[in-house]
Amino acid sequence: MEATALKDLDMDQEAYSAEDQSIGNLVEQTRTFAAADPGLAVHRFFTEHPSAEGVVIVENHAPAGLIMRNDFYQKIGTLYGRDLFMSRPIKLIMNTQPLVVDVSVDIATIGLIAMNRPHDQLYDLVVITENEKFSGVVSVKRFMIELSQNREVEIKLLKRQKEILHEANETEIRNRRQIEEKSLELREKNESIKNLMDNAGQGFLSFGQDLAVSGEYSLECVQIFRVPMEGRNFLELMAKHVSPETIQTMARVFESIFASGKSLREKVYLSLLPPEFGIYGKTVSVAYKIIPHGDHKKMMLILTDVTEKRKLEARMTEERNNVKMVAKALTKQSDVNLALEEFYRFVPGEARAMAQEIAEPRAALAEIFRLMHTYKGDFAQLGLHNTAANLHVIEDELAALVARPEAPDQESLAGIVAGWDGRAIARDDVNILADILGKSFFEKDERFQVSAEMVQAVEAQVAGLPDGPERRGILLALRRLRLCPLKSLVAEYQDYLQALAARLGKSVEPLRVSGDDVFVEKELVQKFVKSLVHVIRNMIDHGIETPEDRLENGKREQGRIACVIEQSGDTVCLRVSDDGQGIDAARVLQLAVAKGLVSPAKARDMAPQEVYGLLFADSFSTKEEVSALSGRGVGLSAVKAEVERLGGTIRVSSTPGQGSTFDFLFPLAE
Amino acid sequence: MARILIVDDSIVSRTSLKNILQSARHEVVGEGVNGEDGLEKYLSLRPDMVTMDITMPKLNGIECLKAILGHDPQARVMMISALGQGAKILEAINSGARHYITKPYEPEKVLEAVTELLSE
Repeated sequence: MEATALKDLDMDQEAYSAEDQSIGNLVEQTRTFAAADPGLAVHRFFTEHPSAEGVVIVENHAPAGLIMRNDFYQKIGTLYGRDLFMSRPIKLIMNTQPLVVDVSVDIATIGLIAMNRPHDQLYDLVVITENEKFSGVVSVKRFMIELSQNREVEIKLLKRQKEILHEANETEIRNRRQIEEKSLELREKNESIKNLMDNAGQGFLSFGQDLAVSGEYSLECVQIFRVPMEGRNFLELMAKHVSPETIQTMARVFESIFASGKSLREKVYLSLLPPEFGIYGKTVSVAYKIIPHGDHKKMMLILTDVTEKRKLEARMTEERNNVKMVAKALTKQSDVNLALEEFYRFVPGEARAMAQEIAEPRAALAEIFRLMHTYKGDFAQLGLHNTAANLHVIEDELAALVARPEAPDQESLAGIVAGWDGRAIARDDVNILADILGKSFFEKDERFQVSAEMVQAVEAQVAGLPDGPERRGILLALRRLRLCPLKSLVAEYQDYLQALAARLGKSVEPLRVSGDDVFVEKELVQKFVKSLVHVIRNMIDHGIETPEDRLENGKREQGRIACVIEQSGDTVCLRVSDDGQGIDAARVLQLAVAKGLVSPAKARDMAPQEVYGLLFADSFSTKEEVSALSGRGVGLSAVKAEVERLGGTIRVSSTPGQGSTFDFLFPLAE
Repeated sequence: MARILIVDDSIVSRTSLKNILQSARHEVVGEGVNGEDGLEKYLSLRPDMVTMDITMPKLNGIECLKAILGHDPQARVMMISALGQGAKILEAINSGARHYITKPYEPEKVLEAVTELLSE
């Protein structure tokens, strides 16, 4: 009798696990649309099928989005919704990130994930795939009913199990009880950890040397990978979502990590793993941790969905990269021009010649690959990030060619090379630079680089010649070789500006240096340029407001300090301006009177220009509290001294709320 | 303050690395312009560590690394790679390179890696 009962139970259990545990029998069909279909088509469908909860948008057999009836009519119901969406493609209004899971995921997991969704998506259809292809939907309504029926089955099952167990040997049960209690304790502990993981909004999973994902992984993992993961090989799960090379690298890295004992080595290995990957339109970042597990190690991965964050960052990075490139280009004008010239010569001209002249195509290919790679590195280092990115794409194509068992013949290699256009590859960056710095940045003047030692050596030689007009002429000409662009001297403030602003809690755009290319004797002007540090410091400290104040006054959050260089005849004007709050003339006067710099009577009818002049007086400071950076009253007087040494003058103007401008005029030394 | 040899075929890269290293008071004792040159300079200069570009003519970085380690198994070599050279870096690390950095690099990252390598 006992045997029969047990057999019955087995059969029940089999039926239970095969059918009821999987989502398969809950999957319903629904109408699907293409992303390009107009809203009107969906509207018609919903009108004709009043009980349809939603429709799925399918592209290449895979689910691309979901439109729920309620959401659809909410959007269409807005002021211009009808006009906007009825004739336009539905991809504009679909939810691009609905809950999608593979049919193999069990009911309980799906239920938990579905219930963890935001309130407004709680009753959205769950989209089901099989082998990545759309297979149907599960209605949350039906799902709830099914879940409660399952409970009944479960309860019935438990009851029978109890009866049977009762009939079984009771002493054996007593013997086991102790062990069971222990394991229950352990299970409860595990479950509380799992709860914690499931609600952290991150995916946690771990595996050992065999790369099989262990049972304790969090729900978010299923949301990311869309399939149950326990016992599956982690690399096989990843294989669909990253390149074969990455899989290969990961395999070798894991192998090395499980074999290695040194900690720097482990750190280096971990850094070779992909920090993020794309999966079903999401970007997921991965943190890898090595955790000790008995006498061996386990890898723990923490997965975070960073799709939105990355999109935002990508836009900001683009802008920041452009600014960086401009700043770098300013200080390294000759390097940028040299690199571009060389590159234009190489692509396609020299590269094509190389393809034709090197008899062995594989050798030619390797050489061209190497040179392209070097150019990519050079451009990246010079900040020409778009050019570097374009070269990276070409390099990938070349790498694919290199990897092929059969090398391309000479003719087809030359053909590939001839298809490249150096100027097109660099165009984006060149345009950005030309826009901001002016076309003259790329104009080839007759300048070339000579080391300072070389010039000095020639000077020394000439100095040894007998005196005469000729010798003096040559010496003068040689000295001119050592001239240096004023722009690049000023542009060196870039880092200082950012660091100082950061320390003072101000937000300032990168320093803009523009205007004429004026060449100066570095030794002569350097002290003056160095003294400008006081002007910039004052502007950041006193002029530029805090980001909060700026926003309150309707200004851009970031302050701006600009430097314009103009040459007219023999005079150079270096203008430094900020868009801060301007100079508080009343306050300056008050302080000047307090310090006894001017009498109260005279102060009453001083013109603004005169007032600003007080700023340059020895020991003047407008900040009551002496900050660590400015306000000691030595700064601006030092600038004045340097300008006067050059035989120049200073002009200051300021508009309250709009900023101030410092003009430094000095003669160009001949 | 370490004595460092830079091996790289690009003058732009060499100069930028040199500036970064010198800013932290390291001494750049020599520059190799290709793998062969790098090996020769290593043997004559015996630096504390080497920065080694991967893609170079006449003995690439990995071949040069192996050659150096053949003469001096204790040599401390840091690889300089471009983005997307994961497999190459892995080969280098498994061949005995101690560390690596990826171009384009920030000065802080370079110095951090150098410090880590030297204090290992």
